[in-house]
Amino acid sequence: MAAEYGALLTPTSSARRFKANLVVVLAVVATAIALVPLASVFLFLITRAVGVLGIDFLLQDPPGDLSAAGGGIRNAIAGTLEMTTLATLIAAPLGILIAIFDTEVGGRLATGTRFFIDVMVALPSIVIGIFVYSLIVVAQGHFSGFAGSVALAAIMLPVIVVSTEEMLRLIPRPISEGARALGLSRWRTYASVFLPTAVSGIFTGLLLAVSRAIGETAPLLFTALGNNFFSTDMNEPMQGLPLLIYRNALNSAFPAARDRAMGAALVLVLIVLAFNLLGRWLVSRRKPGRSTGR
Amino acid sequence: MLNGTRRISALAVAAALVLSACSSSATPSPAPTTAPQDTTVASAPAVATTGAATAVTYRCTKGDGQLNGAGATFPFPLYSKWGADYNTKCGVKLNYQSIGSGGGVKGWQQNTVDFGASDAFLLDSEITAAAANGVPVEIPVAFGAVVVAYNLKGLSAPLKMTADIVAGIFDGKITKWNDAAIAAANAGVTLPASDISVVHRSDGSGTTSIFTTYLTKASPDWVTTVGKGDATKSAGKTVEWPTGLGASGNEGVTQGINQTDGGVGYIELTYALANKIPFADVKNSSGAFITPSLDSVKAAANLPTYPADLRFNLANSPVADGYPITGSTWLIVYKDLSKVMKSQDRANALVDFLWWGIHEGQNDSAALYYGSIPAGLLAQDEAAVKSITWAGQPLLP
Amino acid sequence: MAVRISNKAGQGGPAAGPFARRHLLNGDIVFRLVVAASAALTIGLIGLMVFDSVQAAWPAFQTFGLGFVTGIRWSPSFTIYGALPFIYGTMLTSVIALLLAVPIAVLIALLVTEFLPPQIGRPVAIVVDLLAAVPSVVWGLWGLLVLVPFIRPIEHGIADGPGRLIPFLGPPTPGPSYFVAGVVVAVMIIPIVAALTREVFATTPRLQREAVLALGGTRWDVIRRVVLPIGRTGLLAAVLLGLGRAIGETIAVTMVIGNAPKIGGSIFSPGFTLASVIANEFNEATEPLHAESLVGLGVVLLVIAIVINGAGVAVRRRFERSAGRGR
Repeated sequence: MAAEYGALLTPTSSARRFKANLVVVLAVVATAIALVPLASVFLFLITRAVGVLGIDFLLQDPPGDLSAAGGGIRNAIAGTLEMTTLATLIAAPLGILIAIFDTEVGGRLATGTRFFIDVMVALPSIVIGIFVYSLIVVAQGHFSGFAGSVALAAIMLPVIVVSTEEMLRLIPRPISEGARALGLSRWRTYASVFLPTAVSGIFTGLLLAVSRAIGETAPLLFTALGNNFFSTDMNEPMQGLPLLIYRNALNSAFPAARDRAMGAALVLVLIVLAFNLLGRWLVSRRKPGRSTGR
Repeated sequence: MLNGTRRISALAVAAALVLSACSSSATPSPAPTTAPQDTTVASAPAVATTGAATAVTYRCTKGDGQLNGAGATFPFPLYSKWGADYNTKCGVKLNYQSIGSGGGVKGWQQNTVDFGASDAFLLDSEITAAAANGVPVEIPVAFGAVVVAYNLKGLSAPLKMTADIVAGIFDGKITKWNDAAIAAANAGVTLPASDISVVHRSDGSGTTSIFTTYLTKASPDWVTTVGKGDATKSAGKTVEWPTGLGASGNEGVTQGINQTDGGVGYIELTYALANKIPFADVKNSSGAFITPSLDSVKAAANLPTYPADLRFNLANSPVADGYPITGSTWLIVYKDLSKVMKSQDRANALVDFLWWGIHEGQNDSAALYYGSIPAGLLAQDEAAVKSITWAGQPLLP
Repeated sequence: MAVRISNKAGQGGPAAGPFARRHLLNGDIVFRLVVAASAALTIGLIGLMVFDSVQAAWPAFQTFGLGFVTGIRWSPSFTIYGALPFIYGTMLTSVIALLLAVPIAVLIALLVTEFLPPQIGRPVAIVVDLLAAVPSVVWGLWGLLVLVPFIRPIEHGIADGPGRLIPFLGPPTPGPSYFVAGVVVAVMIIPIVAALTREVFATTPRLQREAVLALGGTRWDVIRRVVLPIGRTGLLAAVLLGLGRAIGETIAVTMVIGNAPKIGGSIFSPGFTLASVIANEFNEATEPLHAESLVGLGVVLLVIAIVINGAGVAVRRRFERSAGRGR
C-alpha cells in the first residue's frame, strides 16, 4: 500500500494530469449524453401536442366518434385522478400501519418485513396487473376502475412504507422516551406525537408514490380496460392517461385520436413532473444538506 | 407535421365526397375522418330505415347508459362511428376498446364485457370453454378487405400478387422485392432490390385469421411451412410466423410498414387508405387480379346462402370479381343474458343496440369502406338478435 | 401540540403517578393488534396473490415440466409453450441496457460528487433524475417514433461493418429490436443507477479523500484509489437494482422490441421479453394452457425479479452497514 501511495508523491506528470482531465471530460460528455433523450422527448411531445393543447382539451371529453377532430381528454384526466385517489386511500393507511409495525416490532420480524417491502418496490408492475386480474376482475366479472385502483395501490404501497419508516426512524429518541415517561399509551404516542411530527415526510412519500402510480400503464391494461367516456363509476371500466396514450398514440388511421393521445402524453409528463418536483422540494426543505460523510 | 395532417384531413373529406358519388375505386384515396351521414353507394343493398316497406323501429332502452365492448381493431373505425351515432340516437354510450379479436373473444368468455367483437368466428374449443356462462350468438355486422400493404417508393401502379407470392413473402421464402416470382406477375415494372421486411400481428387477431385462412386455402406451400402440414394450424388468430416483426393492432402494423423501407404487412383497407399506403391487387380463384375496394368486398361477401350458425369464411372467394382476402366481423354475445348480465334493463339496452347496428348502423359502413350486410343475410341476422333471451324469454318482441 | 396524559387504564392503584411505568395500557393492546393485523393482512394478501398465480400457472408447469423454462418454442397455435425466448430476450435487453447505462451513470455520479461544486452539482443531479419522471409509455412512443429512425444508420453501420464477421451483430435491421429496447431501457435506468451511485460516492470518508490529495494525488487518483474501491459494494448494489428495474420494464419495451417470440440471431433482430409478451398476449389468451403459460411466465419473471432485487437490497444493506461503521 505504501508503495502505491509513494507513487503519488512524485510530481504530477503531464500524463496523470491528462488522465485526470480526461475523466472530467468523459463525465461531462456522459452527462450530456444522458440528458439528450430528456430534451429530445420533451421536444418530441411538444411538437406533436402543440396543435391540440388548450383549455378545452383539458375540460372536454373525446368526441363520440374517435376519428373526429376536437374534443379533449377530460375523461382520462378524471379517471387517472379518481383511480389514483382511491389507490392512495387504500395504500396510505395500510402503508403507514406496516411502517408502524416495523418500527414497533423490531427484531428479525421487522427486518424480514422491511426486506420484503424493499423487494416489492421494484417488482414488475405487469405481474401485479395479472395478479389483480385474477383476484378481482374475474371474480367481479368485469373490468373496473376499482380493480385498476387496487393494482395502483399495490404499486404505491411499498413506496409509502419505505418513506414512512424512514421518517419514523428519524424521530429523535428523547421525544419517544419523553412520551413513555409521561405515561402515554403507544397508540396515543403515534396519534399525537409521532405521526404529526412525521406528517410532512409521510406526505412527501405519498407524493412520490402518487407520481409513480400516475405514470403506470401495465397495471391498468387488464384491470381498468379503458373507457372512451367520462365516468365516475368505479364499477365500470375507466380511462386513464397512460391507457389512452398506449391505445391511441400510434393510431395513424385516426390522426385526431392520435393527436389527442400525444397531447395526453405531454399532460401526463407534466403532471408526473409536477408531483415529482414538489416531492423533491419538500424533501430538500425538510433535510437541509444530505449526509455527505459518516 | 401538424399542418400536413390538417391538409390530409381536408383532402380526405373532399375525397370522401367524391368517392361516395362514384363506385369505381381504381386508385386508393385517403379515408375521410368525418364521414358524411347516410352515404349509400349505388350498389349497396337498401337498408330498411330509408322509407322501405317495412319500417324498422328502435326501442332505445337506456339500461345503465353505457355498454362495454372490446375486441377487433379491424372494425374499430366503424364501431367508433356507431358510438357517436348511437349516443345521439338513444343516449347510450358505447365504450368500445380496440384490443384485438383475441381480446374480444376472451372478454366475452370471461364475461368481463357486454359484447365481444372478432373478425374470426368462435372456434368450437372457445365455445366449450365458455359453456358455464352459456352459448354464443354471433352476428356478422360488417365486411372488409385485408390488404397487403407495402412501403416502396417509385411505383406508379399497385403491385400484382398471386397467392403463392403472398405466401412466399410472409413465410420468408421470398426475401427481396425484385424476386423472380414477383417480377413474373408484374411484367414491365422495375422492382427495387431492397429487402422485404415483414410486419405481422403480435396479438391475437381476427385480421390475421382472415389473412391466414386465405393463405391456407389458396397456397399449399403455406400449409406446409407454417402449419407443418396441418391446415388448422396455418390459419387462425395466431400462427407461428417464420419471419418478421410483430406489432399490436392494425395500427401497429400500419406503423411498422410505414417506418421501414421495403416493409410489407396485412392491414384492413381503411387503415391503408387513411395512411396512403399502397396495397396490392391480389389474384382470386377465378384468375383475375382484384383491387381491394368496397365493391370487390361486397361481391365476395355475397354468398348464395349462409350457414345457420352464421359462422362462415369468405376467403378465396369463388366470385369472379370478389376480392379474395375478404372477411366478416362478428359481434358476440351470450344467448341467455340472464346468466351473465346484472339487469334485464341492461340486457335490453344491449339487444336494442345490436338491432340498431344491423339496421341503421349499416348506413355508416360504406363511407368507411366496410361492406354492409347483404340482403340475403339480413333476415338471419335479425333472427339471431331476436334469439337473445332473458331466462328463456326473447328480449326483442 | 398539546399532549394529554391518558388515564383510562388506571382506576388508581400503582399506576397513579405520571412517572410510574404502565406495563400495557388498554389502548396499546388494541393498537398492537390493529397494526399487526394490517401488516399480516397486507402481506397475507400479497402472498395469496403469489400463491394464486402459482396455482393458476401450475398446469403449464406440469405439462412441460422443466421444459417450460428451457423450451425454445412459443407457439399458441400449436399449444407449445416454452419460456426460453423470453428469458433470453429479457437478459439480452437488460445486459445491453446495463452496458450502456452503468458507465454513463457512474460518470454522472462522479461528475456530481467529485467534479462539480454542490451548487451546480445538485441541480444537475435533479435534472438527471427527471429522466425517471417520464412514464414508460412515453419512453416507448419516443423510442418508436424518434429513436428507431435515428438509430437506424448506426445499426446499419454496425451490421455492415463488424456485423459481417460476427453474425450476432449482423443484419437485417428492421428497426424494432433487442438493441433498441436495450437503449430505451438504458435511458430509463440511468437515473436510478446514477442516484444510488451518487449516494454511494457521497459517503466516501473525507479523511481518506483528503489524504490522497495531501499526498499530491489528482482528482482521478482520489477516484481510483478511494472513491471506487470504498464504494465497490454500493456500486454493485446500484447495478443490481438497475438490473432489477430493467428486467421488469414492460410498456416501453413492448413498443420497440419487435414482438417476435423466438430467439433472434442478432441484437438487431426483433424479440420479446418476459414482461412484454405478457402485456401483449394476456388480454386475449383464450386457450386455457395459453393463459396458464402466461401466468407461468409471470411467475418466472417474479422469481427472477425477487432474486435480483433481493440481492441488490442485501448488498445495499451490507454497504450501508459498512459505511455506517466508518473506515
